Amino acid sequence: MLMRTREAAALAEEGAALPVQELQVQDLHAAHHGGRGSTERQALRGVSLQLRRGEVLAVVGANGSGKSSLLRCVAGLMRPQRGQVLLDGEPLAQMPLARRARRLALLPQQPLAPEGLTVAQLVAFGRRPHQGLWQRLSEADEQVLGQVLQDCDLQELAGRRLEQLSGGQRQRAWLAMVLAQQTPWLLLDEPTSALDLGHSHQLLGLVRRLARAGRGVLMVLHDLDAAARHADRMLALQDGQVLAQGRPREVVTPVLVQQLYGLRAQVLSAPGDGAPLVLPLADGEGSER
Amino acid sequence: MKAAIAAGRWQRSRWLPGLLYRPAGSWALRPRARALKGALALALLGLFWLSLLAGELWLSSGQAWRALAGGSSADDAMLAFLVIEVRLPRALAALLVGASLGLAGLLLQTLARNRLASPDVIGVHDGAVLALGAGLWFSGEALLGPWWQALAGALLTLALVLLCAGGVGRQGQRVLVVGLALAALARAGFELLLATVELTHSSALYSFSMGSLLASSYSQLGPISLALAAVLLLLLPWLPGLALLQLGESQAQLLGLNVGRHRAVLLVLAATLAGLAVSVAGPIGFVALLAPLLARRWLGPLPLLGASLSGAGLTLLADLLGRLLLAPVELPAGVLSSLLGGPLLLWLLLRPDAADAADAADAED
Repeated sequence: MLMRTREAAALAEEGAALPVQELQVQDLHAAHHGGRGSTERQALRGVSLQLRRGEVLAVVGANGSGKSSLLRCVAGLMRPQRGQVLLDGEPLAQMPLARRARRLALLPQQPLAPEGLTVAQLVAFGRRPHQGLWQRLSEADEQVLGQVLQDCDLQELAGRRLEQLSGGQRQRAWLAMVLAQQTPWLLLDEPTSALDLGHSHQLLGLVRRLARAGRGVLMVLHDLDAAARHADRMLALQDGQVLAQGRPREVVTPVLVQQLYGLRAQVLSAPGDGAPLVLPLADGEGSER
Repeated sequence: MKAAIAAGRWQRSRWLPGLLYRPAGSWALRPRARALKGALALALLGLFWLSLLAGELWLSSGQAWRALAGGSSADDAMLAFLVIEVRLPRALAALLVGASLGLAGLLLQTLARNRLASPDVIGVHDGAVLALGAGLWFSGEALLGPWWQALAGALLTLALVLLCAGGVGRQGQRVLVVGLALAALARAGFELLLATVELTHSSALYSFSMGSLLASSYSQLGPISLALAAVLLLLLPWLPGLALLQLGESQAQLLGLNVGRHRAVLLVLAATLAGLAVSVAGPIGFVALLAPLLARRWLGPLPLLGASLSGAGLTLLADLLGRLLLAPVELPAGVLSSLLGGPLLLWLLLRPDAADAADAADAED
């Protein structure tokens, strides 16, 4: 509880004086340079979005629709051809890297772990943006380490080497590293792709709690149901363009599922919270209706 | 140390084993790693002393000490010459060469994110040798060119490798493959030179290309050690960034690192270290590849001092064994390092624990 309040205080400090506390993406165009010789592939064609702190925005779409490119652009790893990203009103492109690292963190899809690192050593890297050049650890850092290891259910694995873990455990270790950065903006690229059902649910719950504590979360999810259940708003991407944006119940419709995935489906309402549930129809089924 | 912990000045980290920190934030201390490094340094010192005593004429410790301290008898003068003018520069050269090779290997392996990407494998050594050979060919003299020729060759080769590979890449495989090809090319070029220069020249060139510390002298060590010291000083401010680069370029940038600048500087410094080492002793293989692998086994993922120490130890050992095995015939240190290094590399790569566990975990997913 103490940590939560302290964390909230830290978050409030980080850019609290700024008049705008919003992540704005304006008319983003970006292309992949697929190595020498090959042609450019347009990844994003005019994507705009807004995200407030305290909100979870889930990006969905088919493979290759530009979801990861969107995240990489927002993180500053990919240079957009046109358009810009504003972080709390400040253009990302002009923000020094060190400051960016304290404001925004990204969990990539397939991070590569160096050999021989333990889980805790990896997570400790997340504290680097808050430390001096040669400083390694302080009491506050140690506290954050303990907190994020607990959040990601990694306390028993803290001393294990990354190469000895399963894919899901490794994914949680990387998430813990990203959380240890304690940034007000979080970008997660398919954070649950390697997780079992239990851990996946647990992680999405954690993401919601983090958002309630004052962070803005932009995450790519391949699971439409999970996205609809855990996000405040959803954004559907197709061929690098925004197909639909809004509250899950407005976005997830049979028409959208058909457009996005070419799949005929029924959308039900979940018994508990009324979140939309996608039920794909078998071939031939539904044509009679 | 225990008293300092009890007084609350240092805390033991709960999550990072063996690490001590100050609550207000500070350098981290790793007493156990420090003790290991101390032991390694002591072993190195022992090896160093042994290499002053050992050879065709074995000395006792007392004799060697008198020779160093400057005894008065005629016998002492002879010994002093042997120890101070012959064996000492050679042992010092082995230390310098080995330490820089170990460090260069660690830097390149870390930057390429591939544990096989050491300067001797990706052609930096061969490029340096080729440059020296080319210098000899153009000058037409019987003596090998100045040391900076090897350095230039090393830097040029690394630049060429990176250019052809189009950057370091995700896991360094491209650098590795391109480097292997360029290494073969450089070796072929060197053989071609060897075949075309006069016989007297080619023998000097050939024995250099074997990698030997036989010709070490103070006049050669002076400028090299100055250059090495300069490189180490330059390296210092970039080391915190090197640790971040272990996580890959994207993550390093996301953690606030200017990746392009760090990578460029560190690559140049790594090639410089390798080039300087080759200019002293020729291409002593396997040291740059093995020293970091060995050090990483016991000292964590980025053992800067450990790799230098074990590199120096391996080189001293290779030189020492080369002197002793077939005495009075001397084997070049480069040959011995390959004889030692081959089996050692096989053992490190094929040992059943860590690597296999990683493969098994990958297969599971």
